[in-house]
Amino acid sequence: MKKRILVIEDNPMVVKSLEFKLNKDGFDVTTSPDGRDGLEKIKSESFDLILTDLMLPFISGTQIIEQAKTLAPNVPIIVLSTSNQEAIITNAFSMGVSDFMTKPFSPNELSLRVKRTLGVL
Amino acid sequence: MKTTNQFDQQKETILFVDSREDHKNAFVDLLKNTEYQVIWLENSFKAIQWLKNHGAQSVLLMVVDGHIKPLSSFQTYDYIKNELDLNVPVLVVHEQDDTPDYSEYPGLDYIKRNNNEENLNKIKEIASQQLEFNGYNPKAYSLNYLREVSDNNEEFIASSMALFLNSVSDRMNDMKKAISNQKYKEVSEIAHNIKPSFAMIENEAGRTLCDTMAHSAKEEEMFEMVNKLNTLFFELKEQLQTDFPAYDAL
Repeated sequence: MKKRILVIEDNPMVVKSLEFKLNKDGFDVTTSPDGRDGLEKIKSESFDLILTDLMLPFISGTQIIEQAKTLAPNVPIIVLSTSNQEAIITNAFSMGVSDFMTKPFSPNELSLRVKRTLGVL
Repeated sequence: MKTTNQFDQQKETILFVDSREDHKNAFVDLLKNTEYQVIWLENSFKAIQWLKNHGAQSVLLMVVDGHIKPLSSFQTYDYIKNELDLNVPVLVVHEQDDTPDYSEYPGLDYIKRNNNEENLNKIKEIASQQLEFNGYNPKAYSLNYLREVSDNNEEFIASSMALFLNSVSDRMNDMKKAISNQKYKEVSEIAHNIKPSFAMIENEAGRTLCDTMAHSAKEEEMFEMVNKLNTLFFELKEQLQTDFPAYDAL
């Protein structure tokens, strides 16, 4: 069965690229355009991995991570950040995220990091 | 060749990152008949700080000792590429008996210490490629990144360009409304949101403007920056519509 990945990201171009690349790598991808929708999906569905932006409409990425660590503690999280967010990324790591990637992501690096986090390398 | 730590931004520059002065002297000697400016930095932290302060416009290459500290050569390369968002090729200097594998890291390569002629050729080749990369690009955008993501899928590329125009157009309208109401935080958040879109079509001017508005612009600078970004986007839109006449969505 395909591994399920939830992508919470509000830039449609980034979402489109992530979805394209991850589908091509054989994953089942669900997307959320904002934190509120993302959190609803975490509550109602099950995923093998969450990729989330940090600055999101309605509910921030940091709040998503906090909630996800309670609702689905075993689901790894990769943070999608932009440069100049060192302090926020450090904070995200202290909350237990597995990895982070800078947007726009390198396609090969995305594949490697996702597969490594899911243990399917 | 000029060797100094007084940086001249008009000169083509190679950063040499190594704690040992004798290594630096040997490197300077290797490049003695070239026109490159060599800046010597004793550790990887200083190299990152230097790039943060000066940018990478005139830097053609960074040559790093394979045992550099506090960040290793891999970590330094990763930080420069992903955190500083700078495109600087890195050449790691290894000892003769090391056999590193950098196949998964485009932009990272190695030379063996003391292979003088071979090393000089490699340095010149990479520097020349980077000079071309840093040069003037008459087009305001590039499809290289979208091609890389999609393995040249034309449908994906065309629909991504349409998505760029539609989504950024909407956000530019939001940004203009926000600045007219002096909602600077909102302007900054929108800039943060659309920055990756400019980055994905490799429009460096748009990416830099968004980055500044998102992270460091003063309120009194915002109005002019929004106008600049709006003009840039308008010109980009015209060029895309000329370049992609077959796609109705554009």
